[in-house]
Amino acid sequence: MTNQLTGSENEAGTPRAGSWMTATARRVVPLGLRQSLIAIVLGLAICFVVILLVASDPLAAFDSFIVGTFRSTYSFGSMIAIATVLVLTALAAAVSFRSGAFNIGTEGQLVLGGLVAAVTAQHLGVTGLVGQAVALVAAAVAGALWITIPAILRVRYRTNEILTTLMFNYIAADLALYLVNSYFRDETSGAVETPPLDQSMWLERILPPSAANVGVVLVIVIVTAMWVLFDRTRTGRRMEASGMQPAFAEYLGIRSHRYLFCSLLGSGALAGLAGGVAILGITHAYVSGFSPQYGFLGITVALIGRLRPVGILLAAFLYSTLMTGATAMQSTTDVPFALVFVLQGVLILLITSQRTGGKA
Amino acid sequence: MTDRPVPAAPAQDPPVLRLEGIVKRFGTMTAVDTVDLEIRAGEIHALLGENGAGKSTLMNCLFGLVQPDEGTILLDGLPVDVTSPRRALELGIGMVHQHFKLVPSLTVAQNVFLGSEPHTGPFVQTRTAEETVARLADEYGLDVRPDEKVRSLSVGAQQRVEILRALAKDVRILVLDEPTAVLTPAETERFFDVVRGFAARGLAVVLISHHLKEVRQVADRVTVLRLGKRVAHEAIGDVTNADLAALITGETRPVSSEVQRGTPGATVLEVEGLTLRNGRGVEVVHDVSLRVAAGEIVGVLGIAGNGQTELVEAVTGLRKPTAGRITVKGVDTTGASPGTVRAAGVGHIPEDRIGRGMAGYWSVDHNITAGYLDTDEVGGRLLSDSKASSLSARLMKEFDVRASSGRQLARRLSGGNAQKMVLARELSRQPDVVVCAEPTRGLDIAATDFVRRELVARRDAGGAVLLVSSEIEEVTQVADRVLIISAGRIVAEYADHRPSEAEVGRAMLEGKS
Repeated sequence: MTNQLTGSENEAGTPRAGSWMTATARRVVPLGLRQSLIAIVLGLAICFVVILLVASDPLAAFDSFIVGTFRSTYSFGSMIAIATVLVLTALAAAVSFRSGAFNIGTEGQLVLGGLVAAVTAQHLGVTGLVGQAVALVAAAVAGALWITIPAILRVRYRTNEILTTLMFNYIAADLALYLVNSYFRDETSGAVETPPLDQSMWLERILPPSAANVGVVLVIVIVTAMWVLFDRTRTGRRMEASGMQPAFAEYLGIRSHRYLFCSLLGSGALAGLAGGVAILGITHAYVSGFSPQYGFLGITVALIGRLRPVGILLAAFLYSTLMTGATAMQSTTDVPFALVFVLQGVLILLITSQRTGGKA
Repeated sequence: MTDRPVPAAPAQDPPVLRLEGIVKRFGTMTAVDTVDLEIRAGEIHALLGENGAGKSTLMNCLFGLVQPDEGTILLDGLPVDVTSPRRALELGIGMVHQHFKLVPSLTVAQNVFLGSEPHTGPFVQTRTAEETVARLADEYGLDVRPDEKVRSLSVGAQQRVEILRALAKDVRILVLDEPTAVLTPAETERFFDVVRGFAARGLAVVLISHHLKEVRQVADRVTVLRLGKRVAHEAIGDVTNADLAALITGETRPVSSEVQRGTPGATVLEVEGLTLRNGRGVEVVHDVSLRVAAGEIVGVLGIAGNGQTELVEAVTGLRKPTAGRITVKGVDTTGASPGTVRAAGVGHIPEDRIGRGMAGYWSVDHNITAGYLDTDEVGGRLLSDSKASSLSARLMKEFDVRASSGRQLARRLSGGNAQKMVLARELSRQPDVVVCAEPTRGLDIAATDFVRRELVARRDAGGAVLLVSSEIEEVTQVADRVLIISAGRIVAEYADHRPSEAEVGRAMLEGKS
């Protein structure tokens, strides 16, 4: 459609920098429903092949993987708990992708958000709903702060945010480790973790004894709000224009930089909030390694959900079902949980290849 | 109009290529309907028709990109099956597409031989490749250096690389799909010399175009398609431009009905001493001043690349001037943001229709209503789909945007419909100032006519129109006042009469009146 060779100049007439450190305009084109479904079906097919190859009893493994989640209230509840966090990290990814930036740092923002939530909840002195709310807001603020530097670098100096946000993940992991070890560690525990939170700070469980909690309600509210933002507000429409075609947005008089900056901060805040929900809702203390890569998984979920809130809700449901199923499969058969990472890799591959190899 | 008889062919070689009864359907639509075509060695054969007439589909059948549903392709009188572009090249059929398929980071020679590099064992013979390219380039007068990176080439030079790619495969039949759409007038002239050279060396050239004038300049014979059917098949000397235009559009109205001159009122857009630098910091516009009054179309005419792109960007807020002043209705908009300039009452029909004027992955509805986000016509606090789509439906009807529905993706629109969509967004709010750049580039006759009428209508309703174009015919027919821009300066002005094409042509080339 467009000839990339003739586009040697982009917005505002600045020459396109050849450096891979510099962010050039990336168009974010959500997948069609058909492509999403193809990716899911192919991804599952490949998982089946892997199971066939490694399992001594493939049928039992299939059974646990696909329907194991629905066999007991406990595993169903675990699935809901995971989905709660995944929806938030996926929304975080979607907010940034939609406005034309790739926040790959949701994992780091989530970790720091989780730590800040734990510490706030521990030392706040206010308990109950208000205390929980303050801790969650603090988590969101932490996530937003953690992406501020990459966001400024991106907007001011066009530094490639994929690299900076990715690198900030490693800084976040080490920073969290240092802070917990030096200041917040539970001395009675052998693990790197903060002391358990007072029960009044826990997000109430809805399907005991599973980890499913009232965070679900918060997530449904946020999904609705995001749907309104993306589909029903002028802000959302302008954000989408900026992300899809910066030159077009500029021409329409949209201040793309402002939208980009705010989206990145919003993205960080959602990822931080996800960390807070995981801590207050699932682990009830900051536990080093509490995240089974919720941040990175969120990116997959966002893409499968076509960057749309409702799509993300469904994709997160599907993905958590498989994650819970994989846990069950690992305990009852000889197929390891790592199958989920195979699935993730295959999905990412399928999605990104469809994206770039799309029809002209 | 029915198929006219082929003029009695002089005693000549048999055709090198014959297409007989080609039919190609897409779903329920018949894109190419029982078309015959005959190409001889050493001729330049023009294939004319509006957007969507089936020209490209027919050629894609020939090049193996799509398979015809019915019909035969005969090469030297023998039926052949062109199953893929690779097969087409083996048969000696080459095609240069409108949108180039080159790798920017590779050299010219590497691109020419991509996938078929001359080699000894595992080693590519770079020198042989470069020498072959240099020899071909020299032989056919295609000025390009084999060791240069494609990234640094102009569009015209990239096109020459595409042509070399076909020539390196020893093609006998070369299909050029709207080759001049991307070229400046000067490049076009040079390009035609090259094409004539091909014919002189015995190549059969098929030129897809909708530019009558160009076709007349180079073609020996012409085939006209309309709605997938062949409607004429003639030697170029036997038909007039009016005949051809009528055949193409299926109507008999004159293409260039004389536009009445307007009656200018008070000055609305004023540019004073404007100086601009381009993206590389080179000063490309020097001290330009101009005024556009209400009810007036001012044409800025010049060969592409003489500063007009930057001038338009400055007036619309997309580029900050280094010196000078721009006012709209007395309000200073110098260096203001595009949003502010829009709010001051400026509509903009940009030169880069696809990259700037629309979001291809947005629906037509979204694209049109994007210009109405600051109004309550798309909803209250929250956007309303029903309000937006009824607004869009109304404007699509008013501006004759033909799409399957408002929800169709803009990238699926033909060039003419895409431009009408841009007009629907930009003109429907009745801006006091309209700035348009190359508004009819790449459009067929009917769409061109529509766009020009809309601009005149806006003028007659009291709008001030700044028409920046490199099409002499467009500016001299539509504008009330013509300014000639050359090397970033206004070098001539025609205010009291409409200049002849010869008059302005000289001024454009010489850089003075």
